[in-house]
Amino acid sequence: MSEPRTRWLAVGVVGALLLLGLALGQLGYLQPARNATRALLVPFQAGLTTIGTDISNLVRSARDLRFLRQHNAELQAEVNRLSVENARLTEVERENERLRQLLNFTRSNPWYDYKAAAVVGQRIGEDPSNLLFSIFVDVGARDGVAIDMPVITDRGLVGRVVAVGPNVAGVLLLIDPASAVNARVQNSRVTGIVRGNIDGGLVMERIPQGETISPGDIVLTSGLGGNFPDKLVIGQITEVLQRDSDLFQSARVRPTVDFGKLEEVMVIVTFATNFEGELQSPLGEEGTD
Amino acid sequence: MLQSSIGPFLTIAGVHPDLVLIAVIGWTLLRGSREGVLWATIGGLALDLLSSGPFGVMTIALVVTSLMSRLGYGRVFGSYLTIPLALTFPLSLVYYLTCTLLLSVLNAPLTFIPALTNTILPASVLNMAGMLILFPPLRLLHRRTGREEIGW
Repeated sequence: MSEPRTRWLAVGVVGALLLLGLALGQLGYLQPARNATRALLVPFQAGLTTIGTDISNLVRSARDLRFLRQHNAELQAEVNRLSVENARLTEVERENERLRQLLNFTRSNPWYDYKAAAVVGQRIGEDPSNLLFSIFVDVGARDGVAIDMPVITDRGLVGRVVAVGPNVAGVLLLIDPASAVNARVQNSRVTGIVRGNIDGGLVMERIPQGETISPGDIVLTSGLGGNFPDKLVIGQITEVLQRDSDLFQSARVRPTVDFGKLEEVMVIVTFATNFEGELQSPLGEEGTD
Repeated sequence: MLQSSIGPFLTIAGVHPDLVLIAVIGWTLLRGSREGVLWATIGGLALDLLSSGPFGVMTIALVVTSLMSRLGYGRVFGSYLTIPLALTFPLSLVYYLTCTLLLSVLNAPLTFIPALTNTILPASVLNMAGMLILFPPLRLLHRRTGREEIGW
């Protein structure tokens, strides 16, 4: 048998087998064989698919790297912008809360004319000395602020104005050793003088012996002497200092105002102070200020 | 201005480093009492202008401290930071004790022990840390500018 004839014979056999397979497939006789074949090939197919996917991803990743970098930079910029915005809104929310508290205070104490003022100086206007306690606020003579006017927050008495410029005022804080305020213990109605202390606390002095005061008692301004309005909260007694040999007893007072975190304060601009008269002690002796 | 502005940011345990004091001590150690006293006067007057306390207290205290600092003048060059650091603590005590004394007389009585434990000692330690940071630039400034004769 010559070689061309053999070749044509092989083509014919293959063609016949294909036609036979096509016919058997159409009739459904090849399905079990197909299933068996697929079952055998699945692991290999899966492996190959994984490899192909990995390669495809690698190529795509390389192609997308520039886009991803650019996109990442944009997202980072957006995160930064939102962080700043979030911080700003948080600050606005806190300021809103503080102002609401101040507003509530003014509503509950309508007999004074308050002028809201933001403290300039917890950070930029503090007294430069470690031994003195004063701050600067951003209202001054232009706003009706004058020397000796009381300064408060919703939490209580802050101090009094000791220096005034056109748009700035210096406030001597209650905790300064030079500060002194006529005070009254809320429960027992005992009066005394609250002075600042170098440790940042307060001491209530000139409390007559025999008067009963206890830790936890609230100390308010008494209004005696006309230097400050009455009923402003000063602080809470933490310790009673009593010795029988002394003429008076005294008490340590923790201020209600957090002087380290002062931000907004109010200056009572209509209160007529009487610092010429100085402080009045409960026994009629004159204190100093 | 700088002390009033930056000081509160550096507040630890209720006290902040006295930048002007540190600068005066450092400059006196580097240049001697003549320039030291001059800058103590200028710095002190600026602080007194910004302070609510009696005018002149900080100027006097800084000048006294500067005059005491002259004891270390000329001894800092070989020791690098050791002598400035060692002198900052006692000189800070001199400054604060002078302030306390003057404030007690002119302003209001200060109870000594609380002042010492709550303010003077912590602030003196903070000033040492401040000197650690400020002295190298002061020395650099000293080397760049050279010694100048300043009359006053």
